Amino acid sequence: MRWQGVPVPSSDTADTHAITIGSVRSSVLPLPARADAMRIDKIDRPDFFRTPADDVVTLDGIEVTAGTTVHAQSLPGGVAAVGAIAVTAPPAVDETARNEVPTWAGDVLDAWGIDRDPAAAGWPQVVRIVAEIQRRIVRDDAASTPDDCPDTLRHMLTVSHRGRPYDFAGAAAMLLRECGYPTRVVGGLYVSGERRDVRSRRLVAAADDAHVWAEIRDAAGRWIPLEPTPGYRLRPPTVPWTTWALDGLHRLAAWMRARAATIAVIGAGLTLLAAAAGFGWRWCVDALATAWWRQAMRRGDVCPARAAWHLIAWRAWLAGCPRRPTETVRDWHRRTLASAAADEPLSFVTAFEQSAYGRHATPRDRLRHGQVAAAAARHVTVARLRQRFTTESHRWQPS
Amino acid sequence: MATVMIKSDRINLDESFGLIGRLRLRLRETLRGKTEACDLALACLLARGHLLIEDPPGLGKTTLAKGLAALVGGRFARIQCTPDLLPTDITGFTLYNQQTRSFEFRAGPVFADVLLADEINRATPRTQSALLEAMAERQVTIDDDCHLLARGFFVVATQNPLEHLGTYPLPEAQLDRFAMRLSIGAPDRATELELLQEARGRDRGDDAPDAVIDQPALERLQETTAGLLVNDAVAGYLVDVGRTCRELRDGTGGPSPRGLLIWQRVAQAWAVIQGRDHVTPDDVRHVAGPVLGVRLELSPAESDRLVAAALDRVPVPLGGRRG
Repeated sequence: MRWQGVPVPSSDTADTHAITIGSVRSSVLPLPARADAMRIDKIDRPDFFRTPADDVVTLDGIEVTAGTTVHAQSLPGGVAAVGAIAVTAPPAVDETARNEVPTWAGDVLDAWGIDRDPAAAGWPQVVRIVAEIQRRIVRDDAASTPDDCPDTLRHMLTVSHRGRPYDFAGAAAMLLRECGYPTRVVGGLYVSGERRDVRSRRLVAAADDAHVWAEIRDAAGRWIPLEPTPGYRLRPPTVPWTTWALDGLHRLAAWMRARAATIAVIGAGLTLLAAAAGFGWRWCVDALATAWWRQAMRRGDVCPARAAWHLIAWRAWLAGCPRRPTETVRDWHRRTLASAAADEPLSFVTAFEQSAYGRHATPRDRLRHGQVAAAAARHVTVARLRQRFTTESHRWQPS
Repeated sequence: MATVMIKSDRINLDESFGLIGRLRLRLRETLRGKTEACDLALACLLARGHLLIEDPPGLGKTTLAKGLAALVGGRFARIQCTPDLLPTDITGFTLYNQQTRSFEFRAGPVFADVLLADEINRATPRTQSALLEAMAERQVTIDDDCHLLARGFFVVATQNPLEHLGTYPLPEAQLDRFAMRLSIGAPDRATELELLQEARGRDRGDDAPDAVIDQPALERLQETTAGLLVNDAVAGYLVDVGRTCRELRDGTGGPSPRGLLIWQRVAQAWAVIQGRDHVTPDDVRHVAGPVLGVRLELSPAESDRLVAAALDRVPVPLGGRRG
């Protein structure tokens, strides 16, 4: 705060205030929000004042005498503009802020879905916490806590969800500290501008105008006021859109990390849909079946000839020439591929029959079956089957 | 130990495949242009079954029977069945020898290795029945004496499907003794032309093939055939088709359990002929027509239709537990 010993002229870039002390018995001087200059009548010695905390000015232990007028200057906009401070530095993060925070505060944040990851720290997280308090807790000036309840804030946040105005500031400070933000609870007067007497041009503050809010320190050392209590017109800090965008990206990444499997499935499905749109559904099903077959061939416990038959049976179905239930594999082959020039399919049928109806295959048999099956899988494609099986007379329709 | 046994089996099978391949080749040379009939007849022989051929005269029934007998190095006998043929003309009889003052047994043609009973439906039922014991038990009983026939005794009977005057249709019990009914049919034009060209300047009867195997070798082939692997799923398929045939005949006909046993054996023989060490549903299906045709008491065309309908009703298994 800038102290001046002479009256401050009013201008367009600042609001001037003349605050007359009534019955308040305190050494703290009443100052408007966002005050940046003040003086008291003829006291022009700076060492007469003390600043025990940022933005707090006292008369060094002397009670302010009734009738004293404090002249002050603040940034324009009044109370409504107080919270709309354009933050230029990120909120400070200090691990020591968590020292006196109860352990259940983290559980409350988790239950509210607030990401406590240090990487998520920033103004968007601060604004979200304050907004959650306002959304979830109902202001109730008559709210009370049971006599046997040792923790008022816990009762408010987890049980009753109703609280008095000053409880909101305490809750906000506690939850913000849990996230590592240096936060303080500030008491003062909140006087609505509607009570301003136009004739006398005075605004009289009463005892009911006492109010408590929270302030958070940014990395530049400024205390940024936050208003968690519903009903008080204090806008949240103005956070640049770039900060919001970065926060959105971070939250998206966290969301995707938490749902990696779902996203993978959806991605595969979308890829398949795209492939189906581009190449046709037959191509997609064939690609899936082929992938399954390749996976099966890598495993040692799967009969290669049988696995290849399953693949070829899929392809036959896709090509419109499936094996009839009462048809043998050899008959199906004779019906569909008998005149094929290559020998692979017939060798494959023999290999399949041996594995299906013959003795247990020896390692040499398995090796040969694997080679024959691989050749058949290359040879008997959907396109080739469709090409060879186009006339309607060859098609089989289930009865 | 198990590995050695399998290896031994495979060596036997490989030998069998080689022998059967040579038999097929020579039999096909004997009966030109009828590879399917030759293979089925060979399967019948390997399955220790008996063969009934229904064909008009002159299509190669005798040639096939004689060729089979010659290839397996067995004795061949032929009976021309007529209404006045007596059972003893087939089985043999006991004759009193005045010189030795004792009874002697004169063996009939049934004691050959391969017996061709030509036009069997012209013999009386009494004579036909004489063949029953011989075909089923491979033995004949004459004057309280039981005479064993050759272990590889094989009957090829023929009958003319067109001519029914003066014939005695084979009873069901007699038919069930046959493994299959076969129709050779007329060869195609090219084969007939080839036959004519080869027959010029050559005597009839000098075209009997040389033996490829002897009777002990044939028995070994038959034993190998009987031991061929039949998967449980394939056996189940065979039973299901057989039962479906009975259902289609409204329970009044169809293959008996003995017929199913013969069917399985013929399927094994067909698999061996194809060079396989296991039976597949294709083998069962391939021999179903000839094997079931003799048991359905229907004309060849009707039995073919019924068998096809049965095969078209039973799903083909794609593998299963090894039997």
